[in-house]
Amino acid sequence: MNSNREPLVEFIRKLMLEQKRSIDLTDTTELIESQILDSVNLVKLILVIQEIWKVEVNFNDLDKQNFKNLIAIRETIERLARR
Amino acid sequence: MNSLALLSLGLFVFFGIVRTSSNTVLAQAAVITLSCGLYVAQNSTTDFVYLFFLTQAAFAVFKFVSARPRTVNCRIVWMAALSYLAVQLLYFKAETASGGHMPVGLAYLTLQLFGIFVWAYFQKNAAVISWTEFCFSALFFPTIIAGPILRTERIAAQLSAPSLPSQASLKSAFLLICLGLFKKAVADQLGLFTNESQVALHLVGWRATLLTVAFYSQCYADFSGYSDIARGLARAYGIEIPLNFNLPFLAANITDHWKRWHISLNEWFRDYVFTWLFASNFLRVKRVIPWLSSQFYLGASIFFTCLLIGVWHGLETRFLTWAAINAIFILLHQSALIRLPFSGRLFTIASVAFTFSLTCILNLLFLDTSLDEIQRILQSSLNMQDYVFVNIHDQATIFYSFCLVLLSILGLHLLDRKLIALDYRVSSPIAFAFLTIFALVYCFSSGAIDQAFLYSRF
Repeated sequence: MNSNREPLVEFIRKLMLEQKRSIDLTDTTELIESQILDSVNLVKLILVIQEIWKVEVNFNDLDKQNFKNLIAIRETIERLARR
Repeated sequence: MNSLALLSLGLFVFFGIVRTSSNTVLAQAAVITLSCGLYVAQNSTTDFVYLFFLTQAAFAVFKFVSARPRTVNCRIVWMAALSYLAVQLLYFKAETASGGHMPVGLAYLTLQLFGIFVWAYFQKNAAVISWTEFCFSALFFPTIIAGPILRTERIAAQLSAPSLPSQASLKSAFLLICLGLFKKAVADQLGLFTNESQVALHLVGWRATLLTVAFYSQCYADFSGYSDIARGLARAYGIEIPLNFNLPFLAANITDHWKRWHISLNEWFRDYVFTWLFASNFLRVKRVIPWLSSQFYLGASIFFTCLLIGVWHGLETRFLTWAAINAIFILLHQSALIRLPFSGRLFTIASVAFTFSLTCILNLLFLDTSLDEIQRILQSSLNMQDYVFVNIHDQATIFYSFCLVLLSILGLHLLDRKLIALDYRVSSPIAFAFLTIFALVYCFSSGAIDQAFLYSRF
């Protein structure tokens, strides 16, 4: 589901720019552990996911493991879209 | 010190039961009984009866919700239970605001039960939590009065794999309890000072600033002291409670401060209100209000989450003002983050100093006094013409007081920094003995531990 990647990567890059981070963003970059996705940025991401992919999010989906890197986020979006 | 004596007795009885019996249910029941006894001894029987029956009703709802699929009936029961908890808390907060009474610890228990209802509705694996485990975590005596707010499912997971605490854990638990008592003694000393300052007629300039800083330090020492005692007692029982204060004086901005101060409360609101109640419902709200942008929704979510934290503290203008100002600064910080061109060590130091001053000022709203009085203290702090000394004696007194307060802040901060890094597990027996003896001697020689913990009033 490559269509997921572009806006996602763009969004994460924008967050990193705001935080003045200069690390390389790969599919496996730890987003939660490295604090790129702190509580406010995680919520920003959840809002963006709902807005772009028109998917509903439940309490179960909010587990941080679902957002730990780009691969996990892509899988989460795919799962939400299938529901 | 009656409560301390009761705690010691309780621990003795508990360990007697645990060590002579391999029955974990019996051991958990012993703790629940101990909680009943301690709560009743410190507060009132009626209050405990209410908390106890609330827990029993909550367990019934928990079992009902978690054992059934998400049908209409299940949803109605679940929504009714959540609404009851919210309305009940609002009712008691309104009562307290008008001089009434609220059972001690109800605000903390409400959040804990709310959390477990949400968990049960979505996770549907309640079979893992037994009655004793549920009651144990809801009525656990170290946390029932003033938190930290526990997550029932996490405590139950620890209880389901019980293990007797190791000798190292017991040592560390003892250190945490001593540290907590020491902080409480420091807080009460600072409390004597802030009480005197409040009644002083000429509370202007230096004295007003001193009160602002001293009260913030008192709140930190008092509440983090309580949290340390609670964590220590829990660790002695083989249960790990997460850190509730993580060096808040080092916060570089207001968002950072919220991640370091009363962590269990702020994480609860982050998970259940900010992320779940607001963020996850964006699409549903957008269907009703199509023009809603994600930026606006994010701002509104931050604002209302802060406001609800204010309401949790009390239905009073000062708490709502405190929450609203915090929300405004968080929003400002979030928008400034994108534009600020500064970075580096000097900027960080300036940010920490600014955040410290801001949190000191905002914390004044927790002073048990009128908004007008708080406004007067603030105005005087900001008016340079008020910064004068009456005479040399006045100058010396103010200087001495400032040194005392700043030393308290620095001392507590450095102690916490070292001990947090070690997870309160001091390996050197000399350091361990020094810390505990110093803490205990200070507490008992000053005889200062005679005031209630500040946060038990919420």
